Order: sequence, then C-alpha cells, then structure tokens
Amino acid sequence: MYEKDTIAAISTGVGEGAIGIVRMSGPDALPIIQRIFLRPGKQDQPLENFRIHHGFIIDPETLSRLDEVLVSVMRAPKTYTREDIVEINCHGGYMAQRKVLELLIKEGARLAEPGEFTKRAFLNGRIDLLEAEAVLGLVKARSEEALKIAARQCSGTVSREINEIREDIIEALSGVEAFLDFIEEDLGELDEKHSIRLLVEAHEKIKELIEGEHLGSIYRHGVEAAIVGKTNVGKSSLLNALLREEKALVTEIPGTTRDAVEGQITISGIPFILVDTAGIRRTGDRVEVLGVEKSKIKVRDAHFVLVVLDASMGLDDQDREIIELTKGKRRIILLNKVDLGDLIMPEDVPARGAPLMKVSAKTGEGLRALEEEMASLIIREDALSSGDAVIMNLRQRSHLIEAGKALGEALRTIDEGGKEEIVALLLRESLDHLDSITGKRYQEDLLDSIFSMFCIGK
Amino acid sequence: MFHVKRYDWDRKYQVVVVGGGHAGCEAALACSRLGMKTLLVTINIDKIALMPCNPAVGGIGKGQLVAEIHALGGEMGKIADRACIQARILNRSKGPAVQALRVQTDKKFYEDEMKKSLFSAERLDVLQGMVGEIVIEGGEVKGIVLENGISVGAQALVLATGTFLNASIVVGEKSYPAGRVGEYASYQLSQSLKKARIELDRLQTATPPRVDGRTVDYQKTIPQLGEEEVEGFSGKERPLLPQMACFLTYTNRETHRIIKKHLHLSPIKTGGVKGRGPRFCPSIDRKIINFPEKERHPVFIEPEGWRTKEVYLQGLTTSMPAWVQKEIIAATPGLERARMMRPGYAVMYDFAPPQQLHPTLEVKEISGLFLAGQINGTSGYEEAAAQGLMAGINAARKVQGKEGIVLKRSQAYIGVMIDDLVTKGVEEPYRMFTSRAEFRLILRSDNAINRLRPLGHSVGLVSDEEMEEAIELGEGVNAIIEELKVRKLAPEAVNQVLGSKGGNPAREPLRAIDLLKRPEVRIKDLAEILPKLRERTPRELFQAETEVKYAGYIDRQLRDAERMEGLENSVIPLEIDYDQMKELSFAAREQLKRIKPRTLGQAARISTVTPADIALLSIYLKRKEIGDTGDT
Repeated sequence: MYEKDTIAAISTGVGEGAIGIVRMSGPDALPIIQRIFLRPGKQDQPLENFRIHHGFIIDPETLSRLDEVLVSVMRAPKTYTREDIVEINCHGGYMAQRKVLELLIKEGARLAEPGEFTKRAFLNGRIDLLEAEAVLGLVKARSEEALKIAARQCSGTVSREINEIREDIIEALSGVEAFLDFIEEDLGELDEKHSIRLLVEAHEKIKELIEGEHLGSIYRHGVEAAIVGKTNVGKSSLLNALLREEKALVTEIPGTTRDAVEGQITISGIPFILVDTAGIRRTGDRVEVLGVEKSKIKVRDAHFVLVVLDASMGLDDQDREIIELTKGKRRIILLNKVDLGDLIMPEDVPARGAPLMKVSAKTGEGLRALEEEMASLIIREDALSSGDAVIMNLRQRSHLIEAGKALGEALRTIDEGGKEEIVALLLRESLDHLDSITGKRYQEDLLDSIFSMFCIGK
Repeated sequence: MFHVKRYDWDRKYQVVVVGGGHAGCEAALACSRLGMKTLLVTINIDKIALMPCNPAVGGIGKGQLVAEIHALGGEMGKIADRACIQARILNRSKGPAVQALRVQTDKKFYEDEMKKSLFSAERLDVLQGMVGEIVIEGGEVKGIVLENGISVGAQALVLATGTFLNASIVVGEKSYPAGRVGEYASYQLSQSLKKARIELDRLQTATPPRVDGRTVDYQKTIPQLGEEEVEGFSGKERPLLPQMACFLTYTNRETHRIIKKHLHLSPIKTGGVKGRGPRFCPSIDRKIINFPEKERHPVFIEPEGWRTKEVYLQGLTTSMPAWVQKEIIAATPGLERARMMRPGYAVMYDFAPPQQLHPTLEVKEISGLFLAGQINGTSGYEEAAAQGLMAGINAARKVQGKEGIVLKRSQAYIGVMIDDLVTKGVEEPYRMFTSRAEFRLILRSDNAINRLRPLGHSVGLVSDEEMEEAIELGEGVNAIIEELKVRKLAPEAVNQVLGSKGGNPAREPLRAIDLLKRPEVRIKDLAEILPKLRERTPRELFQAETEVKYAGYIDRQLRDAERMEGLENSVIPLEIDYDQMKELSFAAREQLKRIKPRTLGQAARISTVTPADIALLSIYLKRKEIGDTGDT
C-alpha cells in the first residue's frame, strides 16, 4: 500500500437529488464514524458490515447535530479501494455534506485529492490495467481543471493574505534558526518581541481567514449572485422567476429598478442571494446614475454574476461593455426572452469560456438547467480551487486550520519557555500546511531570509 | 564476446581514489577495509589530509555529520579526537538535538594521524601523481592515465579532487593557476571530464590570512577556553596533545574604514573573483558591503597546532591585496603588531553539478565513476568526509556486485545532504545546517550510533565489538526509561527533587518519567533518589533524558517519517521513459528527465513536480509493475 492515511470526499455530483454521499476510505474510517455517529437506542450495537444504519452525525465537540443520515460500513478487503470504507448518505443537501466532510477532516481524515479513491483502488490491485488508463485520464482532467481555476484566481486576496502570513512566519523562524545554526557569529540581539508580534499577528490572520466574514460568509450566508445587464433585458423578471415571487418591481419602462433588490434561493443545498441591479446604461437621470454606480459595486463584490442579454433584440455595444465589465468573475451569460426571438448567435458573444444559456424568465424555459449550472459552478470550484479570493475550499480550510493549530502551539511553547528547536519544529509544521495551499516550498526561502537578515560568517 | 583491450595497464586495482583530502582518505580507507585492492592517487603525498582552511572539525550540523561518519565506521571522528587541542559543545544552553561538538585540531598532527591510518591499511597503496585522463569504454570506467604516463586499471573510480579542477587562486589583482596556494592545479582532468560529457560549472571560496602567534597582543583579546570532560566524537579516543586556548577580538571602525577605502581593490568588486561563493562564509569585504551598519565583526584567533606559530584569523577571510590585508590586520585590536605569515586568498574551481549523480554518488551516465567532496559543490571537511565514506562504500559494493547504500533523510544528516545535492543541486558551496534537516529531533549526535551502527556493521566497516557497544547503549537507554516508567515517587520524594527549583509541589505520587518531563527537572536530579540510574553511563543517561524530554515531538517526527516511507520505498526504475507520460506537466517532465529520481519520495522534492505529478507517476509505476508481471 502506498498510503496509510484515511481520505474523505463528497462523492455525488450536482443534480443527483437531495441525497449526497460523503465517502471515507482508510484505516481510520471506522474509528472516526464510531466517534461521530449517533444511533438512538442502538449505540451499543456493532456497525454491521454491508448494512445501512440510520442515525445522526454529531459533532462530538459541540454536540450539535449536523444531519440525519444513512451510513453504510464496508470493511476491507472486499471494497472498492480494498480499504475500510464508510459512506454517509446526507439528507440536507450540499451544505450538510460539506459540514459532515469538514467534521471528518477535523476527526483526522484527509481531504482526498482528485481521483484518489480510484487511484487507491488501482494501487491496491482492485482494478486492472485497462481501467488504469481511465484513472490516468481522470487524475489528469481533474488536476488540469484545478490548475486552470488556480491560475485564474492566483491573484486573489486569500492567496495574497496567505503569502503575507507565510512571510511573517518565515521571518520569525529565520530568527529562531539563525540562533540555532550560527550561534558563534555576532548576530546581535534577536528582537524576540518583534518575532512574537509577527507570529501573534499571523495567528490572528489565520483565524480571521478561517472564520472571516468575506470568506466563510458564503457558507453561512450564501453565495451572493448579482444579476446584471443593460436596462429592460428582463433582470427583474428573471429574479422573480427564480424566486417565484413578485419582489422586484417589473415594468416596461427602462430603468425601473433603481436600487438593488435581493432575494434568497437554495439550490442543491447551497444558499444563493440573488441581487437584482439597476440596468447599466449611460444616463443623465441623477437617481438612476446612483443606481448604476451601486450596480457596478455590486458586480465587484459579488461571488457570482448572471449576465442577462435580450435574445429578441440582438447583441449591441452596451451588452459587450457589460460582458467586458464582468470578465474576471465567475459568471453565466444568459440569452433571455428566447420565447420572443433568438437573434444572438452564441459565437458572437465574447464569453471567454463562460457558460452561455438560453432562458425565458417569462415561460420558465431553461431555468431548471440554469439552477443546476449555478450550483455546479460553485461546487466544482469549491472542491478544486486553490487561492480563491472569495471561496475558500475545504482543502485550504483544513490546511489553514492545521497551520493555525501548529502556530498556536508554537506560541504556547514560547510562552512556557520551551526549547527553540521545538518552536522551530512547530513553525515548520505550520509552514508545511501553508505551502500545501500555495504550492511553494519554504525551505529555500528560509535560507535566503536568514542570510539577508543576519551577517553570517564568523 | 570480443573484448578489445585498449590499455596495457601498468597497474591494476579494484578501486582507485583520486585525491588525498578528507573525502579521498575516507573513500580509500572504506574501500580497503571492505576488501578492495585500492589505490589512492594524490598530487602530493606530503599534503594528505591537509586542512587548508580553519583548524577545526565539527560544529553545528557538521558535528552531527562527524558522529555519523564515526557510527558508520569512518575515520574522521577518531582522528579529530586524537588531534584535538580544544573541545567545546556548542549550543549547550539549547536542546540536545542542536547541540554539537566542535574540536580545534592540531593540523599537522591530524595529517600525520590520518597518514598512519592510510599507511597501516591493508590492500591500500598510495601513489603520487596527477591524473591526465579517465578511460571510459561503453559508458564504463576502465581506469586512469597519469600525466607522467603511468596507466592504472580500475573497476571503480572515486574522484575527490577538491578545488583543484581548472583552479586559479586570486590575491588582489594577481591571479594564477593553483588548487591551493603553492600547489598545482589540474587542467587535463577537467578536460577529460568534459570529454566524458560531464557538465562542469564554477564556484569560489576563500580563506583568511594567518599571522605569527608570537606577535599577537592577547591582553586585548577575550580568551576562549575549551571544556573539560567532553566526550569526543568517538567516545573512546582521547586527545593526545595538551590543550590550547582560542582568543576573540572584534574589528572596529578603523578596520572598516580601511576596508572601505580599499574596496575598489577587492576582487569581488574588480571582478577578479567569479563564480558563486558561500553566503554563510562571506569575506570581510563582503560583510562591509552587505551590512554597512554593523560596527564590528568578531575575529576568532585560533592556533593551528603545537609545531607552528601560525594562528588562523577566523572572520577576516579576504582576497584583497596582501598589503591591504596587512593594514586590515593592524587596525584590529590585539593584532596591531601581528606579523602576517600567509595572506588570505580566494580560489575559483570547477565542480560537477551534482544532479548528475545517483544518490549513491555514482555518475548516472558513467558506470563505476563516483564523485565526492568539493567536486560536488560542497564546502567543509566534514561534508567532504561524509561523501567520501559513502562513495567509498558504494564503489566497493559496485565492484562486489552489491546494491548501493542510500541513507534516508529521516535516517541521517548524510542522507539529507546527499539527497539535497542530487535532487536540488547547488547555488553556492553547500554546507550542512541543522535547519536543512526536517527530522532534526531524531537526527542527533547522541543517537548516531543507535541509528547507523547496525548499517555500518552489515556493510562491513564496523567490528562485532563496536556493534556490541551500540547494542549496549540501546539496552542501557531502554532500561533507564523502563525504570523511570515503573518507579512511582511519593510526594515527599518529588518535592525533594524539586527542592529549590520552584516547580509546583506534588501532593500525589508521580511516575518518575512524568517528573522528568518537567522542564526544570534533569535526569541527574532523579539519579539522586533512584540508585538504579547511578549504575548507568553518562551517555546512556543523556540519551534517555533526551528521549523523555522530546517524547511527544519525537513521536511526531517518527510519524511524519513513516508517512513518507511509502513514497521513499517506491523505487522508480532507471529505464523509465518520462516522454511517454503525456499527462505530466512539461516543467515536471524536464526536471524528472534531468534528475532521474530513484524513488517517488525524491521525485516529490523536485521543485517543479506537483502532488498531481506524483499521483500520475505512482499510477505509471503500478501499471508497469502489472504490465511486467503480465508478460511473464
């Protein structure tokens, strides 16, 4: 066996109904499920092999109930991966699956890499040579997708913040290491207070990133999705159709929506906050100018953008301008009012890879497919992205949590007057986790930092 | 099969070692002890085991290397112990993992002791001469031809040529060919390596001036005395010479003014010195340029031995003109009247970027050719000796048809160093630091014997008796830990130990081991109330204490090491064709082709290789495994 640890992941795709499966494979799969699975009245009974057990997933720390679930237990070796496998069928949709998965990670499982279950099945001799080709393809496809997403988002605020944290820890570690390795050089006084300040700040920043408003918020409050388009393309009608209620004011007079109007829907367990914006167009009306400015801000702040075009009117410069304005965003471009006409050729739309969908807010045509696409865009990126400005995925989150833990332990060790080499060990552990997010390697940066900070060489 | 014999060899050996420095000596001794008919070729027999730079062995990171060399059956630790004129444990106030022994040595005595070992070794000949050509046929080493025409056949060849390849030394505006001051440089060998398609690059390093110790005003310096009762690297050999003191002084504003005034004459400014130098050992001119705000730099005045009056000025490394060096020295307190005996100088030399090597130190493309020491871009006697030992072991095993020995990163500093070299290459001369070792808490000087002696024994360099010593140490440590676990101490006993230490007094009985875990409690405190501990050696007590104090963290490192094990044990076949693996990223494929990692673990440490690439590689390996068994 190549790996000895236990992996976990959400293994159902989008649009497969309300029940989704969280799957776990490895030597700790059974011990973990036994800690978090509550079966009223049957707690003492063993989890029988290849049976489905009903109960609740409980966070043993907070004792809060995460979801009502069905759990199947399959013991090695007659399983897909030839390891112990536990599958948790969640009822509460994607949000519940995500919470359960987070709990498994907290309990010691590791988030699976793309295609890793299949990889394990293969490496443990469960599937044959022919199937291996498929595995290669799968791993490649998944990693490429992850790479693409990472590349698109690498300038995001999260990665910037993680890099800052990383540099602060490296600076503090350089001080510790320099005084371990170059004791006889005249290094001067180590500004210990400065190092501790750096570490305390880094620790705070990590905590903020984990719990922070702008990051964790989408899972607490929902994905903010702005609906944009020039005036009178049917933004408000679309909002209403999605909300299935008359919230936005809908008239035939262009520019009727002067302020952003909001409403919330849940798709596959993911809450979306839909924000209808004033139509973006050049205008002299002062009230409307304000609305337009606000819309631009909404677009900037949104996690997600639905760009609405009027398919019955054809594409004009204003449409192109709006498409240009939203180019850096996660977005879907909608050809609305297809019931009235279909004058926009998809190839004429400068979509840069964004999905293009035909819908009619009025007849409801294409709305179902739109919802699925919205959820799938979020889930796909959630599972794969690294370095996102807005969404922090689970992998990042679990590494950040570990980085924070090690850093906290380092600070406690300093506080208790512990040995420098132990502090260094913990700071390195923290950096290892941050490097797993950024893909960098601190080792080289560390020596550069030491030599730039201290005059080494007696 | 027809074999065309190109050479009528004048002599024939199983292993030939080229170079009589610290790498070459260890390599030659290892080979002869492993039963090889061995030849050591050196440019000058009078310069064997020379210490051309500082008169010391060991130090932080380096001391651990020497302990490992000793544990594996190498020579350096024993000789350094005998030639010791001052011993100190560095980092004494810090934890045991970062403590290290450093000994000042009598240089001539060191050379003589090493020569005794060489000249008493069986099957080992020594020959003076300069190698002109390496003979390679069909990708295999066949032998060497000296510049004087003597030809020597060899089944394996270890090159440990130090700074001699294509070397020139620089003092001020003068530059002339020499491997060390007053010695030859080797040009033909460099050419021969290039002809064999071995890539070469340039590095530089430098050494400080030496002055006459009788002209130093020691009143103005701070004496640095050694420690008594220090167990040496070997734990057996004792210093054979009386001990000596070192002295510390500092440069001052006047020193710095003079350096600044003449900076335009510094070869690092004029471009007289090219190639990358060690950042951890900058010249005094470099320090003034990089850290202009520093008001002083330390200068350690270190004796070079009893039979000379020369003292080494650690900290004043420079290749500025000799007359400037004189002024710099004279401006430094205590050295006002010091008479210079040898000016400092820089040397520029060829090295072979070590990514060309297998982790056995064998050149990938040339079977039977091993490289060790500065030719691989390292710096330092200890780094060289460690490579020499491994190259010697692996050259002998090559001749014997045995598999090479590769130490893991979690097993030894030597493993860390060689893995760094062959995987990442070098940007500057490579020196060992403890910060390079991710498993620092388990790679300690005190447990080098436990870690490596069994390997040294199975290789054949460690005698049964020496092996017994390692077993006894391990058993002794276990017995102490067992005793600490079973002994419950009454509150009165605990409080007696705590005494004036100010720890929280105990109300309930406490296991001795838990008491020892408290930072303020030392094992010698416990020995006062636990008579069984008093039967144990200081070495055993020190190691047991370390294991107890580090316990949780050692477990953590062992777990990490175990997690890596899977990847470290997944061997990548040498004939693997990365071009077939279309799924690998371009950058990863290029580096994999160049470095040809031996295991998935090593592959994962290549900077351009991502976790996804490793996943792909592991699938390819498995597929190949199935494919191969499918054919038979």
